[in-house]
Amino acid sequence: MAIDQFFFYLALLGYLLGTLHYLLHIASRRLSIGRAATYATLAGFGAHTLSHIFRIYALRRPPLGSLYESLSFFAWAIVLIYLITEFRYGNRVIGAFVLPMVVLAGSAAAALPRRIAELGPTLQGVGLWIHVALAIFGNAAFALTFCTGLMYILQERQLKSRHPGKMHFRLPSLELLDDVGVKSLLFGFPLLTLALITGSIWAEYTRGSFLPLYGRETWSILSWLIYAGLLYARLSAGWRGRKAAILAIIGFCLVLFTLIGVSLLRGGRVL
Amino acid sequence: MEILVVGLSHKTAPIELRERLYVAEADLPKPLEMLGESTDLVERMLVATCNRVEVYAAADGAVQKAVEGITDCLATYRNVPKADFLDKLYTYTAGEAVRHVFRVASSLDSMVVGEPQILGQVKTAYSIAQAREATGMILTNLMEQAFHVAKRVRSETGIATSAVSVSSAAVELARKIFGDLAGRSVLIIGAGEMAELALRHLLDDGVRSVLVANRSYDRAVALAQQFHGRAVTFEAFRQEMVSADIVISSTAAPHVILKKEDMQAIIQQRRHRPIFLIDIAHPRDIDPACNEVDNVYLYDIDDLQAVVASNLQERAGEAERAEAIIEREVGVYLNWLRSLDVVPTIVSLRERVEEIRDAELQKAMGRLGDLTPEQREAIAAMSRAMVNKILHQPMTELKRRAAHQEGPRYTTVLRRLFGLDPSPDIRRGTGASATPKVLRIGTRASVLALWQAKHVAARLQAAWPDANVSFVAMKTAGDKIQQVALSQVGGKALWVQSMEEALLDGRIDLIVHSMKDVPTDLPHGLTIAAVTEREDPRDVLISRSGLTLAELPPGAALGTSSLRRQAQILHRRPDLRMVVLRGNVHTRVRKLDAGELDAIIVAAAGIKRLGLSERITEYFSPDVCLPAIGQGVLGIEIRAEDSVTARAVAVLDHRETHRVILAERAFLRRLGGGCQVPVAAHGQVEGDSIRLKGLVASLDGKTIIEGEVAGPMTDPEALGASLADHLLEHGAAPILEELFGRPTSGGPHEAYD
Repeated sequence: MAIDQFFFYLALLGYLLGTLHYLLHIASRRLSIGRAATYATLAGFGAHTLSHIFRIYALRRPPLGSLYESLSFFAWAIVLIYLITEFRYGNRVIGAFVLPMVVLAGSAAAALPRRIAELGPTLQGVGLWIHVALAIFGNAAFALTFCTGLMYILQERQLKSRHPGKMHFRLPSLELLDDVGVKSLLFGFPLLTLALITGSIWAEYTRGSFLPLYGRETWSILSWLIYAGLLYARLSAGWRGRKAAILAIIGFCLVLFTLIGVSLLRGGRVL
Repeated sequence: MEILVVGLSHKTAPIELRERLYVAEADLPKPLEMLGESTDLVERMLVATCNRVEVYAAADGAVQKAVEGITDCLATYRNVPKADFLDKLYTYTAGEAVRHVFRVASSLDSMVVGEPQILGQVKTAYSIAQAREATGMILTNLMEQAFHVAKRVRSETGIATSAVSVSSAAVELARKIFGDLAGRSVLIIGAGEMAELALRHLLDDGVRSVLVANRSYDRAVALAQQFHGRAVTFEAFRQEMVSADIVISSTAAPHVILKKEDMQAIIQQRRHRPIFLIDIAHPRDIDPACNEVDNVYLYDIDDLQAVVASNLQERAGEAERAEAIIEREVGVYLNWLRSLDVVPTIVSLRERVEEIRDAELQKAMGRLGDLTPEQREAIAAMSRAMVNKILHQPMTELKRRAAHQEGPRYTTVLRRLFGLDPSPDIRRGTGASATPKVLRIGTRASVLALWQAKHVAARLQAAWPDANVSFVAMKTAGDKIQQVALSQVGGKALWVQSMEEALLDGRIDLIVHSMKDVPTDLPHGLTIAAVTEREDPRDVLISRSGLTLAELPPGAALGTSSLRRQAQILHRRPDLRMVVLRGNVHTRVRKLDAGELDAIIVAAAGIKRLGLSERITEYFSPDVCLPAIGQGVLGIEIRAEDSVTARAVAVLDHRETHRVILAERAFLRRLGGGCQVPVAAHGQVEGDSIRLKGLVASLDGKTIIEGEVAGPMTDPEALGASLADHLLEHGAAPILEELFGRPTSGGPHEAYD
């Protein structure tokens, strides 16, 4: 097993332990378990970072060339953004929602073929890597928007029902969830926009067509439109709360489809 | 000794009966005193709240009799016929009693499980009993453990986290909507007790601006003033809702004052910022359909009550986890209780082996001749290591066994194998007529005092197998102290006074004292008949971080109970912060562990007896911290004319130590007898003479007047007095004059520890 693989599995183990502890933390409310969750996730993140470094060293290019690589990078970016959020807000409940997703993304990556794809000459170049990295980081931010949106809807339902149950006590306040939601959106949207722009330039440059009207590009533009709408509604029309959360969830489903679904439809090619 | 709980609570008795037996907090001392007088309970405390009346006690002897005494007492005090509550009474002993006390303190036995008041009530009840010296080792440890368990339950379970009153439920919901409530604004429509209560809760949580709308503008102004808010006209409340975050509505309107359409318009103007509506009016003020509007959260009084009900259920679930914690803690406590019995054996075993080590070491050193200090230290270290290694296994095993039923058997065997009980040869030559038949030992009911008494009892019993040796753990007479502050009763601890009275009355035959607690002037008719061989007289430092005195960082907090230690330590380390420390050794160590202090200084002997010697960080040689007069020595006080007991306790007397003690005490007497002064002295036998070191220090440790004399063992008292005179001439006099704000004599010269 290549060394980058070893660290990748180690990272996955860290994330799995993190997930378990975040869930246990919610159930038990014990601070020590919460801390353990953070440490496990941090350790996983460290291993994951090493895994990327080794792969970059082996490939002599960014690890963004195959579906496995981008999924792995996606998971890594989510963890990075989540950890920053946890340190800033001091809330670990979000982790119980984010980390399972990370494990899912990581396991999906692990199940994919990991041989090193030979990339054609058209699929090289700094511009392309920038495009992919931006898109993945933007989408990772949206993953957080998605999770907090989901939590918002759960908490809002609890409050609206007027019979708040166990979940209610454990979930953070609506205010906090909305705040994380809007901040992650504000972080992710410019990245996605830049990704679209760089992607288009690259397409123009390599294929001579500025607006590819098929496949992934179409879906990307669709999800960009949804996030643009969401941002506009939030900033100008004062949209917030439940509707914003629902839109964030729909937007992220599209993102996932764009990233994974389309690739699978096209037989595992990412680019 | 049996731990006993007798009482009734909301679970067994109706409110009418509880009211009839209720004792207000201020009245607690009275029934407590009655319990002391009319029962044989060694230790007792009374917990009385509107939900429970309970007596926690430690009883010697028949439980049934103790229970009867308690019931009689309750019945007499509140004048309630026994028949009225006898069938409502529960009695717990041993493990069940411990469990019950833990559950009560942790609020698991409360009517509203998890309510926080009960812990405070139990703490108060305990301190009232403690102030009246109605508690001793058993209850002290039980209660301290109970408070620890309560804290654990509170932090590790959600038993107390959710709101169980309507107004606190409202605040909690507001927090789940807005997160931090700081800077939020609240609008009150109408008025009412409930509204004000909720408002108060919200203000406590940081809500800043308060708006009041009322049909009567004057009323609005009055209420607004009360809460530093602003009054608005009633008609304007809808406009105000555009900016307010929380609305409490409580008008007497016969129909709704806010419809869904109004709310939709308002939320538009609010740009969908969430709003929390609390409708506590009857009939309701706000159309329930308002809750359908996005970002509007409407709760009426029924909803809030439902929240409270479900929170209570949630607490019940958490209570199960709490029960599990308690179950574990009860086990730990019972094991500890059983293990206590082996502590004296462990200590004597260690002492015996240390004795051998010391003697052999001295012999070897003498034979080895010139050695460098390093070589000496290496040999000493080797002997210590051997002793520790040999003792480790039997000690751990004994401690482990102690937790089970077979503990006593192991101790007996061990005592016999190592010859830990003194041989009966000492009896040779005593006439049969003088053989003591009854030896009643008076002791204070603290762990250390009990250990000392047990130790003395064991030696006496071994020397006088036919005598009936028994303990009388003193219940100090509460009636004498009511008008006088505890510390001022004749400058003497109460328990000393009451034990000496018992001795003079013939209720007991001897008192076991720590010599350093014994005042220089004894009451007429009493005498110190025997003094045991000195144990380790040194003071020791126990630091949390393992740092020695020299290594402690500047400003570190050091706890000690005695001015003597304080002054001497400040002399070396004026940068340390001294904290007055009270309570028994366990309490002090716990305070250290709790992080309140960086280090504590205590007597080595006490720490060793309690089996805590592994906690010691540093031993202070007499050069660093000269011990107190009589430190490490037990003294036996008897009636001066009681020749039978005098003969009996003569087996305990260690002649050389006795001489040294006479010298030390003469030194102290000449210096003014006592009161809380930083005075220290330590004597040692060298051949046929005694070398006595002494010092007087100023409170801040800046000035220390010290001196040393040596003289023949035949006249120790003259020796002590001469050293005192020497110090007085060389600067001790002004220090003492300054300290003696009030002339006293005969007081204790060291805090009781």
